[in-house]
Amino acid sequence: MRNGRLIALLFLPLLGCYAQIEAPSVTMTHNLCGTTDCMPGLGASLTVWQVSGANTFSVSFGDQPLLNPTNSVGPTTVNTSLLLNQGEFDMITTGAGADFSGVNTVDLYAVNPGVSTAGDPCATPANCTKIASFNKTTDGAANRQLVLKGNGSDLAKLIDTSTHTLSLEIRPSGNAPTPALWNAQVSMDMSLTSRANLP
Amino acid sequence: MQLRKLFAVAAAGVCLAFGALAQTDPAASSMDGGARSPAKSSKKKSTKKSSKTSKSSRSSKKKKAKKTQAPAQQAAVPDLPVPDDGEAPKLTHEALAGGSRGKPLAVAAHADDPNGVYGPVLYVRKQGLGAGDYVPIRMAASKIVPGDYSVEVPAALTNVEVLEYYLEAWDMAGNGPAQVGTADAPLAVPLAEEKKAVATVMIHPKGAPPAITHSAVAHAPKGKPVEISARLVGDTGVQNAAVMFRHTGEKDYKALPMGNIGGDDYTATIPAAMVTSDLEYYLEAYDKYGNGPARSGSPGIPYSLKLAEAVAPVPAQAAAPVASKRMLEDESEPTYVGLGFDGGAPGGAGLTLLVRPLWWLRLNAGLAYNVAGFGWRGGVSLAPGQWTVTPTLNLDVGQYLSGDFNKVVTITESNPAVASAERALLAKTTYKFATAQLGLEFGSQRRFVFYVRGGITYFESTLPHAELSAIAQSNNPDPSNTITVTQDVKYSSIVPCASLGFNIFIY
Repeated sequence: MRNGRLIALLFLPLLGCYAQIEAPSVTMTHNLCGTTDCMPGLGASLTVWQVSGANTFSVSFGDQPLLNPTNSVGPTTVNTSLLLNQGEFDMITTGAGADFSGVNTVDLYAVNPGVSTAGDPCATPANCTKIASFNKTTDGAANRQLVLKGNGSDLAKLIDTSTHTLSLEIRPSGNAPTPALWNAQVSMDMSLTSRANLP
Repeated sequence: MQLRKLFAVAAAGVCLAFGALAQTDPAASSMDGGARSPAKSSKKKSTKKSSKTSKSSRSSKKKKAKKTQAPAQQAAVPDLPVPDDGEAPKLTHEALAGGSRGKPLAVAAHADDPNGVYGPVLYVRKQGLGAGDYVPIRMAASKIVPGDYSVEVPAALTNVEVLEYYLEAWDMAGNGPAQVGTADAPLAVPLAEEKKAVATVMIHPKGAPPAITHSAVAHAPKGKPVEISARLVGDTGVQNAAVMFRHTGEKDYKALPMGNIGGDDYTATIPAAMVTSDLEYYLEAYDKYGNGPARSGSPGIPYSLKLAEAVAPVPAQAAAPVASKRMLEDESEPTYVGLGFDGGAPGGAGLTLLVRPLWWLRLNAGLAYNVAGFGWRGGVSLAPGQWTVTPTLNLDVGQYLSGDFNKVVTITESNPAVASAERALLAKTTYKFATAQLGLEFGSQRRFVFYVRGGITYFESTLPHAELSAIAQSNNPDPSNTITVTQDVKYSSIVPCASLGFNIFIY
């Protein structure tokens, strides 16, 4: 009996076996308008943005097994988390007034998997999960770069498992930049951790 | 396994040689003298005078001790140091009153002669058998009292109601035999069934204790392990073989189990920590039915093991061939530097230099190779003993400085851009590792061990972000988005590992 316990004790460290990948910074970038300025400006209210439909876009991650929240590989289960470090708007358009100084708040939402992305899905709050936000009052006025702070949401759980896409919606308030049309690059800095405990 | 077997045979041979060379037992060293006695057998004289069993002769044994030692010490010299006195040895013996049936029967006698004593020889038979049925058993000289001899009649010969025996002894000049009893008028000893307690009734199947053949170890260096070997042969197996040893002057013996090293050969090593002053020991063993103990030496007449500070000149060794002496020194001296070679999964292979600053601590450092590339490694091994099978704790760290895993990984990606990026990533995969393993080492810690180990290993590798970005972007199905890995990716894991290898200590 003592020998059995001793052998069990010797094998105990095997319970701590694992394999893990940590990517501390993976950045996804997306131009709101492609190469040509398209966003309505002239200092108008940013609620126009909702109407334009340019405030929603999707990121396709492809069929990557590691991007599933849980994934069975042989006798083990791979658990993945994809946390948003921060979001960022970088003004592409140049010229006077081409900045975000008139922006009061920006909230970045991820559309929950299974919810239709047509129209303005996040008009119904239950359809979306807020993943980052900017507030002029607490964060200070933005200039040509506007940083949204992440709240620790796990994006892996928000990627649609059938389409492998993450649908995002930007909901701003305040005034648009003064150029008639403007363009910006949206970027999301994420950290990926995948871990499989063995066995 | 061939090396292991070779080592075991070599070790047993060296131990036997050591025992033989170190033998200073007067009785044993008088074999040459004994061989001459038949040549003078025509000189047989009456031994009635010397066969008296008076106790008064025993009282003079101390006075004559010097005389009896002299011929024995010079037994290897052809000429007798004392002129032939023409007299048979004085042989005395107290007749045995009884014994236990099926148990070893101890017989003691005293014999001395100025020319040295050959024998004595005990002749035993079952009562009622003929004169030609006596079984001769040579008696062993005491290490403590000069002139005292004893022997144990094996249990296999005592399963009779009455045992008859007589004793004979010659001197080194061939005078004799002195006798106690004769073949025609032997002494008789009744053997009674041993009373057994009701609560401890044990029925032993047929069988007999194993026969022990052992060359006494008479000398050893102080502070070094002492290996004691013997050949144990029994038709009904061998179990509980042990070296019973104590420091001279102590009352109680300590038991040191003997391990089988192949065939009928058994060995045990008295740890260096116990080899601090002169030792006394005897061997004992049982068969698998519990018959025994068979003994070589006995608690009352143990072998004496003298210790020397350095490699002391042993008289018997002085006359030994140089090669044999060299082997003895090699086997007893510690070794400090060696080479190790091992292989395993997932660590790969290693060739290391070994250094042993302390007998229980071994350091290693050397090259590591895993097909994909080369690296370095180093570590420590802790061995709590120097046994035939020694457990070890091994801790190692290392780093692979180059690694082209395209040699061992086949890329099945159909997208040429992705495949190219994956190849680039695999072409420079390096990693660090740390390993903790428990092992068993077989062989001599001083010379050669083969080992198997198992444990866990920690890997840590850094994957360059440029290649990963290329792979990620190549897999990106949406051209309006760009995916960039902006920092190197860390891969880490703890996985089981196993290895086997061998160590050779050369200096």
